Amino acid sequence: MAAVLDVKGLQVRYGGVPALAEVDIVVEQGAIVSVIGPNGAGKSTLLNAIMGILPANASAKGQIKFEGAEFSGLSVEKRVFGGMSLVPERRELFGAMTVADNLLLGAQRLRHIGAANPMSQLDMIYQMFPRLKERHTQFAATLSGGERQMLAIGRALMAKPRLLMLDEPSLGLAPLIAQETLNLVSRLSETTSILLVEQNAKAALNVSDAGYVLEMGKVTAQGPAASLATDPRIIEAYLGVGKKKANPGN
Amino acid sequence: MNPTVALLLAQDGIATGAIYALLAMALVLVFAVTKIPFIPIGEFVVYTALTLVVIQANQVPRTVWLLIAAGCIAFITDIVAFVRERDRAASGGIAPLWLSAAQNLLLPAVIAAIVTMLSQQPRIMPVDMLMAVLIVVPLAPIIYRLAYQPLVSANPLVLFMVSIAVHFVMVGLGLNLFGPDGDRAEPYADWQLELSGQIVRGQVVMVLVAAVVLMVILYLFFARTVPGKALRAVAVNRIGAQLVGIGTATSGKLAITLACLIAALCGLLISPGVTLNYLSGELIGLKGFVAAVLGGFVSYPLAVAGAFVVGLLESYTSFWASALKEVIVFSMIIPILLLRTFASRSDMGEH
Repeated sequence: MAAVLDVKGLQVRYGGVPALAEVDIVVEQGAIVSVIGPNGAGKSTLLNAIMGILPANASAKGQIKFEGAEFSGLSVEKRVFGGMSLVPERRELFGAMTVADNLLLGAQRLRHIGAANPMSQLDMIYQMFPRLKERHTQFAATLSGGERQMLAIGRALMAKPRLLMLDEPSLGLAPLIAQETLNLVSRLSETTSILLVEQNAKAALNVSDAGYVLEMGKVTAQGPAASLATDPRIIEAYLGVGKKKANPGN
Repeated sequence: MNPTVALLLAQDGIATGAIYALLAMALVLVFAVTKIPFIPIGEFVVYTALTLVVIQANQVPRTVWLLIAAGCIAFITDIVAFVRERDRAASGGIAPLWLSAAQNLLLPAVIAAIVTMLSQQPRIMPVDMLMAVLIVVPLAPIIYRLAYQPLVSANPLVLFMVSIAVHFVMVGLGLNLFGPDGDRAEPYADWQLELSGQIVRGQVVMVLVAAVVLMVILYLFFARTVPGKALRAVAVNRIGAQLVGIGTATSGKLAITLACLIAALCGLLISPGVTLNYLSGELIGLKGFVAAVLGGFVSYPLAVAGAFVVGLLESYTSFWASALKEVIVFSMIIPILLLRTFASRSDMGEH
């Protein structure tokens, strides 16, 4: 399998403060890769750096190869047109515009590359999220948390991305909806590769093919999701099982 | 003051108010999309009007040469930027440069050729007007490219200073292009209407009709078309817009060009009624600004309402206290700002 995304030696500094140090990450074609780690480890910074939306005071170095082409230094729009999509932690919807308009603008990439029918995805999105169809004339700002998340994912999918990046998709959602979102993520991998950042490490590793553990801006563990999920150190730190219970022998 | 005079002044006030309304809308649009307080908007009004005057005298306006020169500079800037980006990222072909050449070299050349060719031919007035707009409006994306695009993430204060600089450069160039004397264009509406005994000048009717038509077109553009919605999206959420591939520079260029098109049409509308010289843009632009401030720089309807207040105030003060006309109009901004400060104090406390 060819790598969709190949990040090597990615460094990010905010002002003088290092946030990421020499991070290497690979996403294979059609795979779901999750990045787990504590708050402040640099997970969101990683996704923002790959997408090119770091704040003005941040500087990034390193290689970001996307389907063989070097993407570091490109503008956000060129990365979007190339096939990257990010659903950011703050969703960044167009609150004062309707659900339908939010989705319409999600297809800018297809308009740019001259696709025959830029809105071809719309029916699929409405099928996936019937709620959005019901509310298509409503302003995005009036939606509930779960619906906003649906809209953010739907808007990203309107671009038919080659790589979908999701930053904390289950954050702030009720447990049942959060689980549904992650199930959805695993279905989406049929059409796109996925890089997932998730607080809920256990659920994330459950749906992923591979995983990375990010701590203090460094990758401290990586491997197939199944083996990470059984790694005693990771179970202890992130999978919410008590020390003594998990490793009685140590 | 008798009722006839009062009604005449009202007419004048409404007509100028309509012009300020269009300018205020253009300013709100640019600010919402780019955070640029676009001071030089008045210069676009004046450039168009004075270019029209020169065209009507069967001469080739010197703004044509400005357009060509500015286009060349923008093209060189694009080449430099292209070479720099290529160092960092080897992807992407030479296509952007072709696009830049078409926009910055070919388009001005074609416009210059058309204007030179037509300047000796007999023409009808709409052709003259179209030529003036064609010469002046393409300056807008070039100015955006040169002055604002390198500062795309700067804060409004920096953009404000750049705007002042652009304003002074355009005023200086205007003196060079048009000379120090004022002039007005030939009237496009010589007729008069009589409405229940009150005479309404054709010019006033045309300004109002044009303003309403333009506002409807703008509304449809923003409500119905994809580029219009994309501009709104940038205004609503800049990061969100970037994430769907609406480029900050692309949308900024579009917003400024649209604003300058509106300003150019204003220039055409007022050119027969007012004597304009190279300096007149400042006051016209600033009054659009006052109107936009009355609307809090965010609301189109409030900006339009504010513009009519400015227009009427100006008209009546020119009758009562013509020496203090400008002072009174600009002083109006003080109570408005005070009011807005007090009104917004309650939300300030929460931060």
